[in-house]
Amino acid sequence: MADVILKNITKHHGDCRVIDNLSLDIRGGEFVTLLGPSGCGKTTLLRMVAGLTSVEQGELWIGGALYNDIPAQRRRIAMVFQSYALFPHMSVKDNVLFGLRIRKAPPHEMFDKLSWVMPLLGLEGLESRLPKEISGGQRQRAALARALVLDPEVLLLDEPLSNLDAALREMAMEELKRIHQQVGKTILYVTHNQAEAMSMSQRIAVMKAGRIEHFDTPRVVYDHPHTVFTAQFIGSPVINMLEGEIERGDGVIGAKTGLGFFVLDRDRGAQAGAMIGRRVRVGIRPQNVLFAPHSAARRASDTRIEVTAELVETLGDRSLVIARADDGTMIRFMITRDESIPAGTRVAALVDGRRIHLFEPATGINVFAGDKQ
Amino acid sequence: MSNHRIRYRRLTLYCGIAAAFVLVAAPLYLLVKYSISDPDSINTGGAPIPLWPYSPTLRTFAYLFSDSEFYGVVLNSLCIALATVMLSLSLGVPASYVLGRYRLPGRKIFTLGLISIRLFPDISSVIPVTEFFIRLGAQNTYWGIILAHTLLALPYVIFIGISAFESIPNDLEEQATVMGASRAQAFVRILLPLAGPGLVAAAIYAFLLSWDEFIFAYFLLGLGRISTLTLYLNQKMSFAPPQNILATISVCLSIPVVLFAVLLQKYMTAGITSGSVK
Repeated sequence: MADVILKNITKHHGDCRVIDNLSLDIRGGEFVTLLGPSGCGKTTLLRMVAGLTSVEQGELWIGGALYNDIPAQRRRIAMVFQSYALFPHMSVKDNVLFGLRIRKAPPHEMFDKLSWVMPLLGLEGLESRLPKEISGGQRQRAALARALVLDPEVLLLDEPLSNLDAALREMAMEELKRIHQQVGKTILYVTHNQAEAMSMSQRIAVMKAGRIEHFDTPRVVYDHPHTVFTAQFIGSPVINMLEGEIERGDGVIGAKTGLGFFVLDRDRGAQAGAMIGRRVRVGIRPQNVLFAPHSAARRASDTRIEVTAELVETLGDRSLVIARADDGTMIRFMITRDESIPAGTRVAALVDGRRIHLFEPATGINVFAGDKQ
Repeated sequence: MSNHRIRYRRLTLYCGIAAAFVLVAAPLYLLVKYSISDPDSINTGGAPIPLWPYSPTLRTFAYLFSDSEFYGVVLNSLCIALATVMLSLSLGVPASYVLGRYRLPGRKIFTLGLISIRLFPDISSVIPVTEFFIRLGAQNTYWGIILAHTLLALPYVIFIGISAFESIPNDLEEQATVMGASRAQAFVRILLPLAGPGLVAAAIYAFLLSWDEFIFAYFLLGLGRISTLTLYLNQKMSFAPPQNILATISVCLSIPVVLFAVLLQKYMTAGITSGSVK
């Protein structure tokens, strides 16, 4: 249950700056996900905490102690690699007990740990199997068991679910969450899968090019993305980004785009009053566009748009409509399975103005970043 | 492609394999045949030599095994070969670990150089080595011939060792480190067992190289009291004994080769790393 504090960390690989003056404050017992595309530095950061990569500049504090120069084998940290890195010549049991044997733990402790962790992860009966003799899901759990028996201060997970198929991944996600609740360890989880990050973590650190774009709870990161990058990385299908301008119209303040004038809610409208005439990028999640063939705007903040459906992709119980406005602006939105839109038809939809996001065109930073972070 | 042509191609392929097999197996067959031949099947008095001896016998083996000198040379060869294995492994394993697991500058050139040395014929390197060894007082000594054989085996051991260590995923070593293992513990518990099959192959190679080595043995031991199986065979040949005795010595010389060839096959199929990293 140790906290992990990263202070102004910088790291280069050759000439390339992999981590750029990064700071992060993880509370003890917290489940934090480092989320970002490949090459954003998230694995490097994880390896730094593990002690496999040196800290070039800055400070790494774990449980109140400076860890910069403590070698990996003396850190009380466990890590599950993306490959699981199970020792192929050892049985599941020997793999799980490896760390305890290195520490010369007494036999009764090994027995206790084993009889605690094997049922916890559903590995009973597989003790004497070799890694190549068990399934992918079982390997993933064996790797987790091997990490948990060491009673680490921090548990590091490097894309542990990326080798599992979709159904198994969902089960494993629930299991990881359950285990976190049971053992209460500080978990640092690395993934490029936003759904994993959203469903498991207490806080998400969205990373891009060695920097943290946004660090907050899944809800805040989703509802109030700090940057265009965060808005686009979190949420599926991907958020619509339109070009627009902040304008005053009819006593309210909103954003004018090719699709129409989107009214802002009162709080944000008041703030935007000082930004009249500024160009912005307008982010609208497909989920916040409501297909409404007949109804007029229901709320003052709803904007009615008219577009031509070009493509319809079935996603299961919902479908994604890719549509174009008269001026060529594209927008994607969702319809339910009961609704149907033939491609080429002209449709009307309502955009919820309370859920639109405005970003600075040059920097990509949310224009309202000051109040909600 | 028509069925006919496929069949034709396959037929040529099989003929080729059969020819190659006969080419390799025929001398071995003659060797074994002579070693179990009775005198009548060899000295036929002008009649054609039979394909299989008239009355196969193990008398030649019995004769050879009753010769105490023969025991001595077998023991010598065995000891020299085992010592060569131990010396070349204890030097070669650390070397190949470092070369296989660390991106050292110049490691490619070093490895290339190592193998190039062995491309020179033994007969060209044996003269300077002998001269040098005589100066060291290493001629006619066990340690001299062991050192010489290690010289020959080491490049191969390092070369095989490098690929054995290289093939082990980095994750495994790092995982061991994160779990508290020192570098030495990770080496002994993870890397060594996983490189095992490759290292066994290297050991067998070193053993066989020493076991049937003749040129260096001839130059370094030729005039002294220490003899090896290959020198013993050479010495017997100069007295023109019956073919069956020479053949029997050769069969004895080949026994470990056949034995290890079977073992080697088992260890060469290094499927052991599968399942660790997906």
